[in-house]
Formats: sequence, C-alpha cells, structure tokens
Amino acid sequence: MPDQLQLLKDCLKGKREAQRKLYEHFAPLMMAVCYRYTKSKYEAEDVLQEGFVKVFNNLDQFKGEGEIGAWIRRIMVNTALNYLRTHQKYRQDADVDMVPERASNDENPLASLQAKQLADIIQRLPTGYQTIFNLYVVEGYSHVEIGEMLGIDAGTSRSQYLRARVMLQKWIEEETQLTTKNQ
Amino acid sequence: MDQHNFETQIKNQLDGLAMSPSPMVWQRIERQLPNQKRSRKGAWLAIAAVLIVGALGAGSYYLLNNNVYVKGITKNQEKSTSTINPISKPSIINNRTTNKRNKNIIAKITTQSNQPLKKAIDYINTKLANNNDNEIFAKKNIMRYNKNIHHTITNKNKGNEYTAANSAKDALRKYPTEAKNIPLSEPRLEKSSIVMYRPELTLADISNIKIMVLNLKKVEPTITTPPIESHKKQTMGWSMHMTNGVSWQANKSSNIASTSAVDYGTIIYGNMSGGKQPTQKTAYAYSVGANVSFPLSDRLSVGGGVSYVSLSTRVQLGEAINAPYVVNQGNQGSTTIYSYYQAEGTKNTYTTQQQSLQIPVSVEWEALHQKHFPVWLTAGVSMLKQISASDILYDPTTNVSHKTDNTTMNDIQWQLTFGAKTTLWQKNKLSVQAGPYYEVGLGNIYKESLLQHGNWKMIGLKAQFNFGGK
Repeated sequence: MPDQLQLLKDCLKGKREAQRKLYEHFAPLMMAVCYRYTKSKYEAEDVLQEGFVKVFNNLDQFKGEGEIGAWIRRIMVNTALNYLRTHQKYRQDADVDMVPERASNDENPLASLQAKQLADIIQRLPTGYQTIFNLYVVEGYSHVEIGEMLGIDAGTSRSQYLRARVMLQKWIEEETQLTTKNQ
Repeated sequence: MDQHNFETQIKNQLDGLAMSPSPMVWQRIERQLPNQKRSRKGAWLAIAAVLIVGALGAGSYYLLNNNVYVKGITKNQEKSTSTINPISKPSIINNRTTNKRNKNIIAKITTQSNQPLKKAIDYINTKLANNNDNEIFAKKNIMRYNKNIHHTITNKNKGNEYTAANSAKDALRKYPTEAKNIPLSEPRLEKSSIVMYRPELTLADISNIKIMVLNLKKVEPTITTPPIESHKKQTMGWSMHMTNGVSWQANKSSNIASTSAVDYGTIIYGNMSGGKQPTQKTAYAYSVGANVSFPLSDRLSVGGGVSYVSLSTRVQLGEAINAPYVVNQGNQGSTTIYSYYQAEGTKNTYTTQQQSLQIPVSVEWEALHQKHFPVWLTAGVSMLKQISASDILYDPTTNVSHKTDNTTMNDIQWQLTFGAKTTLWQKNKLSVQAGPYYEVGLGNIYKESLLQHGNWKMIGLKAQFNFGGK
C-alpha cells in the first residue's frame, strides 16, 4: 500500500477518506477471513463490519510493529470468535459427532480446486470443527492456544481437528470428482 | 496426501483468497464511526493566531489613532514638524527673544483625532491647577485653544486664516468687555497641529479676563508645558519569573486500552492482549526565565522571552522483569533492552522527566483595573525545544512498559499557556506579581511514527519580578 504511514496517520485523525481507502485495500482479504469462520456471506459481512469498526476505533494501539494487515486480520479473527461465541455456535456444534470414513485416496485433489471452492467446503463443516480447523491450519495456533481461546481442552481441540480434517478430505475428493465429471 | 502437505496446501490456497463485500458494508461501518474530527492541533493554533493577531491589531489601531505628541518649539522651529519625538519631554522656552512669534509658542500638540488632543489638554489643565504663574498662562491659553479646537474640527476645510480669525472674533463676541483691551494671539492651524501661542499680555491686561476664574499673579516669561502621561506607557518592560507546580502526562491511549480490554473480554490473543495503561500521577515541575513586554495600551501588552522548563510525571508500574525485550520504535528502528516492567501494578514507581527550553509569546490584559491588587489575565502560545528526557513507554500489544529516552519524543513541541496574576508589591519601576498558571501541550509529544498520543499539562503558581516598564 503506497504511503501506508501517512494513510494510518490520517485514519488516526479520523479522516473519512483515509478510512475508506484503508477499508477498500483490506476488505477483500478480510472478507475471505470472515467467510471462513462463518456460514454465509451475510454473516461474514456482519463480522467484517464489526471488525473494521474495531480497527478504526483502536487504531492508535497499532504501534507499527509488524504489518498492519496482520494486525487487522487478528482483529477480524477475534471478532469472528466473539461473534460465534455470542451466537453460541461452538456449543451447538462441538458435540456433533459426524466422523465420516477416512478417505484413502492419496492423490492430490486440492490442486484442482479454486480457493473459493475450498472455502465453501470448509464452511460446510460444523462450526466448532470449522473454527478449530481455521485456527490450527490457517492461523497457525497450537491446540493448547486454541483450547485457551475457545475455553475447551487441548485434547478436544485436537480430536475435533482430526475429525474436521477427515471430513474435509472426503468432501474435497468428492468435489474434485464432481468438478472433473462436469469438465 | 500426507498430513503436512494437506495443511500447507490448504493454507496457501486460502491465504490468497479475496472476496468482495457488498458496498453496503462500508456504509454501515461509516455510520458507526465517530464524526470526522477536525484537527485539534489546527484549531488550537488558529485560536492562538487569532488571539495574537487580534492583540497586535488592537495595539496598532490604538497607536495609530492615539498619537499624542508634545514638543516644545525652540526658536526658528515653529513650522517644523519633522523633528517631533514622541518620547521627548517638551523643552523649556526661555526668555523673550527678538522673534515675537516664537517667544509666544508654548508647545505644539499633534494629534490624528480630536479625542486624544482633548485628553492632553485636560491633563495639562489638571496639572496646572497649582495656580503658579506659568500655569495660569498655560491654562488661559488652553481655554482659548479649546475654542480653537472646536473650529479645527468643524471648519478644517475652510482654511487656517478663517479658523484663526473666527476664533478671535468668537472670543471678542463672547467676552466683549474682558477682551477688548487684549491683543489676542492668533492660534494657527497647521495641518493636524495646534500651535499654542503665549499671548502678548501685560499683567494689567490679563487681570480683567474672566474667561476662567483665576487668581492671576505676575507672569513670568518662561513656561514649561508638562509632558503627556501617555508617553510613559510606550516603554518596554523586563521581568524574570519562576513557576513552581505539578505536571503530568495525559496519554490518549490509556482510555482506548481500557475499552479494548472490555471489547475482547476473556479472549487472550497474541498481540491483542488489551491491557491497561499504567497509572500516571502528578510530579513536581518548575520553570525559570526572563521576559520582555511591550505595552500596547494602558491595559494591554504583548510579551515574549525564554525559559527553562522541567516537566515530570510519576508512572505506577508492576513487577520489574530482567529479560531481553525487543523494542520496536517505528521508523526509529528496533533495539533490545534487558529490563522492563509489567504495566499493571503498583510495585514500582518511575518518574519521567523532560527538560526543555521554552520560547513563549503571550498577551496580557488588565481585567481588573484598581490601585491595589489589579488583576491581569494572560494567554499565549509557546514552543518547547527539548533538551533531554527520560520516559516510560507503554506497549499495549504486550502489556509491558519500558524505559526510553528522548529519541521517541518530538524535538519541538507546542503549548498553550494561560494565567492570572496580581501585583503584590510595587515601588517605582520595580514590582512583584504572582498568580496561578496553567499550560497544556498541543498535539503529540511522541514522534508520529510511533502512533502513540500524549501531551504534557502543568499547573502551578507563577511569581514574576518586573524591572522597568509600567
């Protein structure tokens, strides 16, 4: 982003045009982040909106350490988790026992999928699995950290991740076969 | 597909995903954001500029419209106005000379409006109430010139001769008996000047005049015109001052850090710990310096100078930790320190300090004009040039405070100053004044690259020792 520091200073001063530019620059990437943690585009937009309001209201806490994009992304993830917690999504879904058979195909079906298709598949996971999968795989947290964040045991996080992973592998293979047939 | 490869591929694919939200999202965000702020710094500077420009404008207007010059005219300089010196006292006109016109001149009063001239004459009248010979002369003339002033104002376009002649005729008409034997002098109008003549009178002649009720005595040929008091006010004053009080640092991020702690609740998440900024308390502050002031009028003056200022604030900190810690200072780079504090807690107290040179410009106005304890109000703006500083920086991303020096602060800082004072003691040109004093920093004391906001505030008692001037 050109002249990021100046843009941030203008945002801190409350200049609306600068805030709009910052939003337009990061909104597409952050929308994808929010989309992965929610169940629909509409929910994702709600989280995105709430997250960006927090970004602008707390921007003076960003001290220039690291990338602003990474900082905004953390706020989006936190906001998404708050959203899920507020709507009691973990509790409803975390106990769901939907362990399909593990896929045995060793081919790499991921290569033929678009990122959006992959995000849609992840979105089909039960919310608890979806959240843990995103935190572990995409954000890079350990199961201990995820357990602290979500208020569950590290073991629960680990087992739910494994279930999510198996489900995803199966669905990805199915999606790949469907895509291949359509082609 | 092995486990690690599966996760890496998913992460890589998802990291590159971008989706466009609907345009309504920004509109909803915009509605939730506070209204666009005006630049506080700009607003304060504008107020300060208006105050200073207003004061200078008022002063200039006063000076332009109240130029009262008095100068004695020595022989052969009757018509010269180019050598008028507004500060000099009128010279004494000595004994009669061979030049009749010159010997009759008391003084020349130049003005740009009617009002100051009247004031000057009123003043002379007051001063000449002692009834000595010279004063009687002067007073009589002033009365006559008062008539002439009237003509000057009303008939200024009709020419000098008319005015002078009319003045004489008026006197004869009004006081026919008293004036008939008097060889009236001829006051003349010279542009905006009134030239006051000493009439050619004998003691017998003037004893009959009843223009004023005077107990006339013998007339001496030498007359001194007293100076106009307002000249004394056009002098410069010097002062030294000392301020003692307390200061503290108001840090904007403290409120937001607290809000953040509420927002994020129990979620513990890397850089967004949402801690609470250390408590800042007041600490001793002082300044010493010298000022020079220029009176703009009886009750208004503008001044400037230089001071040495020491500001402090006490920071309450938690436990001290001796371990490596990387401090990122934005554009200043990063450095590793080996001692820092937990931000929350009261185990340690650290006093931060900033020493600066201060260059203030202020306007003073006498709000309560009285003989004893007059009250002056002051307002101004000052520039701080930092000399040295030791500070505690709070890092909200790690909830840690650490020591730093002046490299994180702006070298030049701006302040608004406000004060009130009264005169406690005065003798001749020496006086002592004292009163409350308050100053508040403008903008951010930290370098903008740090994106952290704070400013100094100081409140105290200011004592001022004046030399010269009013």
